[in-house]
Amino acid sequence: MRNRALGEVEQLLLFALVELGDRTHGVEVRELLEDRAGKSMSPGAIHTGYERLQRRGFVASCLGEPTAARGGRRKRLYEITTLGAQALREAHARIQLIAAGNLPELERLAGRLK
Amino acid sequence: MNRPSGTEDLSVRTPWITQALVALTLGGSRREVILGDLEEALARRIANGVSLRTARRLYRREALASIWKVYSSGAAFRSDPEEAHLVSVTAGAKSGPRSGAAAARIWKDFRFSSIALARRPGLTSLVTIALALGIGASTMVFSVVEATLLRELPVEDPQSLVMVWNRQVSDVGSSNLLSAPDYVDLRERTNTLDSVAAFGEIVVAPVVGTEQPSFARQVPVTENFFAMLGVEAQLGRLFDEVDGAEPVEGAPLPDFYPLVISHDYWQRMFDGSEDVVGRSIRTFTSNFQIVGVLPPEFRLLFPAAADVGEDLGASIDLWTCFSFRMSQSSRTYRSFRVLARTGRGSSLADVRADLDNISGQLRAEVEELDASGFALGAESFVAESGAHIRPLLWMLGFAVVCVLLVACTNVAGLLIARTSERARELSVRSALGAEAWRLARLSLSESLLLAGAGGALGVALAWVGMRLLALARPAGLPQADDLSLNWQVLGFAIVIVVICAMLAGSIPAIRAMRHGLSGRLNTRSSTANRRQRRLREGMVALQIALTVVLLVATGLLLRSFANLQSTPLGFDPERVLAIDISTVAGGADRSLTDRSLAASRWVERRQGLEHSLAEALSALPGVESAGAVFPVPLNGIYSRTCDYSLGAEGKPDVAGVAYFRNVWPGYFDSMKIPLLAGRDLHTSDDVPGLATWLLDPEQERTDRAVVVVDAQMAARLWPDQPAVGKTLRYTTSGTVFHDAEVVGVVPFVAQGGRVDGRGTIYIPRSYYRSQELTLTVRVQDDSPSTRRALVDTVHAAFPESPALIRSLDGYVERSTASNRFVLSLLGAFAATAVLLAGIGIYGALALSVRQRVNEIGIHLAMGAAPQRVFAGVIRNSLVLAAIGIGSGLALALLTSGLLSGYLHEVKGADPWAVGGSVLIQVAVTLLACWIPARRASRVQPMEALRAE
Repeated sequence: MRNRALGEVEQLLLFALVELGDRTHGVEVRELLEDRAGKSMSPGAIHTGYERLQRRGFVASCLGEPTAARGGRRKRLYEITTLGAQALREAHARIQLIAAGNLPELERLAGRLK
Repeated sequence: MNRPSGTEDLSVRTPWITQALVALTLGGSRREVILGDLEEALARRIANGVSLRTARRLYRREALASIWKVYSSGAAFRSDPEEAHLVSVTAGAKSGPRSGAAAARIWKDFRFSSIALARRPGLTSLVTIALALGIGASTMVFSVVEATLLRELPVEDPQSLVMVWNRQVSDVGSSNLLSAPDYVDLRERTNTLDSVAAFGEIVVAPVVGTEQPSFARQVPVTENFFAMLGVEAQLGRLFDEVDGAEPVEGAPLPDFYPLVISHDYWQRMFDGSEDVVGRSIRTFTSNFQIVGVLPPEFRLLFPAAADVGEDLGASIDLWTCFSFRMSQSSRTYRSFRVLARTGRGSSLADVRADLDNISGQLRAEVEELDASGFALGAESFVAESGAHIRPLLWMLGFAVVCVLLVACTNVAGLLIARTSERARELSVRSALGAEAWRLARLSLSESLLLAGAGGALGVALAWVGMRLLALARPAGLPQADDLSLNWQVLGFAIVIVVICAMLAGSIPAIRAMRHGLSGRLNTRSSTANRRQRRLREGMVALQIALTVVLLVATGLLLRSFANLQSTPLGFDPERVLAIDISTVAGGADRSLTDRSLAASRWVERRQGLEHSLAEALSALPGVESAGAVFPVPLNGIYSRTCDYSLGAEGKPDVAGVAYFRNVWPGYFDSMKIPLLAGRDLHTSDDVPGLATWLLDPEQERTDRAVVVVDAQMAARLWPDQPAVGKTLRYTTSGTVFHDAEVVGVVPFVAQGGRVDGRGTIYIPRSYYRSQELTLTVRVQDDSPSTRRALVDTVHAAFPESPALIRSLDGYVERSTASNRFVLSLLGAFAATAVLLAGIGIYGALALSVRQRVNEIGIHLAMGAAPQRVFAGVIRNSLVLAAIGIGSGLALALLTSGLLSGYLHEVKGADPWAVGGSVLIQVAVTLLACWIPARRASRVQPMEALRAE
């Protein structure tokens, strides 16, 4: 059985693809994560993250056309695979299952520490 | 700067240095995509109203973070996602303009090569180790050379410094010193020297008034000494005109004399405390006040002939300033070593002409100088300093070249073998359309990779070696503390690596190109190319030859060292304790304004105390015999010399310089130095009233004095006659002894490990005014209680004196340290070369057996006995070894001339050295070919034939 565990960054990267749809490229992912998740990532981090996910079969990618805004360079376009979507769903469900009954207590503990 | 609008001038806004860095460090599609993302983000930020500066800053930060991420996550070392053959989305355009295609190709070459190398771990590690050994050894030696020779002296413009000597007595090529008036005359009359400075005799002074009395090495300098060298104080100030001012007649002595201390002494004795300036230090004779601290890098390397140890800057603790009436002191008391700076536009020849002129004037004016044949000479300071170590470094350099050559041929041999192994693969590739140039590039990139890995490992090896070297603190190498790998050394290593790669890569690369062009697909793998094999074997023979050269050189030095070790010291150091003391009783009486009267009382008192100390020491239980000497043999810091002549016998032109030792009666006995003729010195040899007279050296003394000379002096001066009963004229510290009777002859005693042809004169203690003395006490057994008793006895006579106690064995040990160091370095090189040659032989044979597997298989199938196959391989390699050893020996005999200066009673063709080298090389050859030979004899005929 293939290991389907996903780390937080990996989940964020996959959710970004869910939100942005097919043929998403790195700059869009960076902006989304910065705006919506408050997470700042360098292009290197984003692409190596996706490379790792691609090796596990959770993401597919290809090179797009060159554009002038990129100095004539091509972009890498990503999309989430079915396998990736399943893995993300499972990972998220695991967190939700354990989190469900515990959120009020978590609030209390976190507040106490403050 | 105006905010740019639109996307046209994007390239102007991109931080191009960061961009280039990303382009250089990332490869393949990763580079394109990440650079594109960065660029797009920059454009978007600017469009969103972020200031250009901030956007560029973010670009730089993200770019560096990206590089870090790609490398730290290991992605850089994995295949490019474009080539990963994983799930790919079908996309529109697949091709587009690609920048840096050449860089990408090179990157690809390297990746391909590293995969190919990883597939042959045995060969790869052999080559890497071979290169690392070669590069490591050469980097290490270069570091030593750099630290000792190439590094500029840390003084201002060392090139213009000259040393000025008195050349008057030169029967053994010795250089000599100047007197204070000579120095003053030189300083006033020269018109080619900008500034003239001098330093005097080094003394080991007791520092008292502290908790623990200790010794410090002290030297007086002229007030302009540091200024001339361009040295500035680390703390406080250095000497100035006021410090060197001549004392006014009749004025009381100053309370404190100014003192400059070395950085090392400051750290050691004052823990580097900032408020050290203004503190006082007391020696028996004077009170000093510290005015400044020298910088840590202050060094001054002197040639061996200067007799001041090798590095004055590093060995002196206390620097005092001359302040006496120089022009009125004695011309015969010569203790000044003169350093000067040539004036602008004056060459060394000009200086010499000027000095000849001055010498002529002075000889005409001063009768004494005329009589002694006074003649000044000058030598370039830089050329002379370190001159004694130069042949040694040449020799080590030669050893390094040998090792490096062995390493390079080794690698080339292995790579050629590898290329021929891949001949078929290459042919297939070229048939499929690979360009010849690309195949050659693969071969080159492989060797560059190997050189890189070998280089990195080599530098690591060198670093470890340097640490070990610094721990060993070799006596023969000055500045041992500074030994470290610096960027120059690293640069040297890199150059060597690249040269190695080019050398090792060029032959296989050319072969690869030829293979590619001819495309001999039909070549059967079983036919080992004869020419190739010959080339490979030639390289092995060359390695063996070079190794033999190194082995012979090491063997010769080893023999020479053994001879030196067995050269009689002239004394027996066993169970002798050497105790450095200072024989000053209570210091000079400062209430007496008449300095000479105070001093003479002090000398007389010292004499009495020394007599009683001698008696007390001999009476101690456990003491066999006790004596004393100054300076002690093999002390390594300094020696004292005196001028002598046969003037008393009417032959004033028979003159020279000799070492002298100031000894107690009983010294010879305690050191077991046998008397060859005559008698020992007695206490009755002391001349009454000499103490007072010693202070007024101008006055001539006609009392009979006595001396003992060594066999070398006796043989030189009176070759065919007994020396006992002859008379000698000599001068020590300005005191002329007109006719000293030789009462005894002793054997030659080694002087600081140096054999320079100078003899030694032993004079009774009372003839020489010095507070320094080393007791030589032969004890029954060296136990802590004996040592304590000895120190107590010393303190009973001289309560304030430090008593530094050491065994004489230690002195002997240290004096041979430098020889041992050279030997061990050379030994390490020879061992490296032997190891490399072994690797070379093994590699060549292993490959050749591998290639000839079918041939061997057929032989075996046809009924050949495995033993015969085994013997065949061994025979093959022994023939190679014979060729290599033969040419190596011829080369060794040719090059042994380089070593001749370093050999002591060993000829270039020493049978032991040669025989030993041959034996070692044969043994290594046998060892290296054992495994390939075994492998050959165990080939399974069926398997071998099936492969065909």
